[in-house]
Amino acid sequence: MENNQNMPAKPNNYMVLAILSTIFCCIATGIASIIYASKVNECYARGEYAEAEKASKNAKMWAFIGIGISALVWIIYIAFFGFAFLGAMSNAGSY
Amino acid sequence: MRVATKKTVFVGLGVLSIGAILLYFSFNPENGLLFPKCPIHEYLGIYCSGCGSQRAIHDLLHLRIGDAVSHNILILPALFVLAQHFLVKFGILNGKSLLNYRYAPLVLLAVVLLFMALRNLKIGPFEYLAP
Repeated sequence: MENNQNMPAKPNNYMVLAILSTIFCCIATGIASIIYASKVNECYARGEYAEAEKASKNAKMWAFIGIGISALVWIIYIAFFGFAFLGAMSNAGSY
Repeated sequence: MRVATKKTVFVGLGVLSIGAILLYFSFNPENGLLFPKCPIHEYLGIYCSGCGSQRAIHDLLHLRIGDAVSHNILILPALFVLAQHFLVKFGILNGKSLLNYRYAPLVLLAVVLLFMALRNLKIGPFEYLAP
C-alpha cells in the first residue's frame, strides 16, 4: 500500500479464457492457465510487477494453446466426418 | 489499425458464436456423429472437468436445465461467473468482478480438481456428477 502512486496496472490474468478452457474444453492447458493466473495475482500482490507480467504472458499462451487445440480437433473432425454427416442428414429426410 | 483489427476479431467471434449456437441447438451431441469426443475420456478412460459440456450446452439451448446439470454440473456456475464478469466489465452491474479477486484462480483450481476427482468415483451420490 505504501507505493500506491507508482503502482502499474495489474496485468491481465486471462481468467475468462481459463474458465472457458477448463469447463468447456481441455483440462491440461486450462489448469496451466489457471496456475499462471494465480501467479499473476500473487506476484502483483507482492509487488513483483515484472514477474506478474511474465506470468500473464504464460497464462495467455496456455489459454490460446487450449483454444488452438480444440479448434484443430474441430476442423479435423469436420473434415473427416462432416461429409458423412451431411450425407446422413440429407438421407434422413427421405425416410 | 488496432481498432480495426479489434473490430474484425469481435465480428469474427460473433459470427463463430452464432454458428456454434445454431450447431449446438440443432444437433444433439449425444448422437455423437459430428461432435468431437473428449480425448481424455477416449484414451485415459477418466472424466475430466469438461466432459459432458457439449451435451450440457445442447440441453441449455433447449432450456432443459436439469439435463444440463446432470451432464456437467459446473456449467451453470461457470456461466453465472462469466455473465457477472462481463456485466461488471461493461458497467451494467456495479461492484467487482468475481474473477478479479486475488484468490479467484486458486478457488477455481480447487473446484475443478475436486469436481474431476469426485465425478470419477463410482459410488453412491457421486455417480450423479459423471456426465
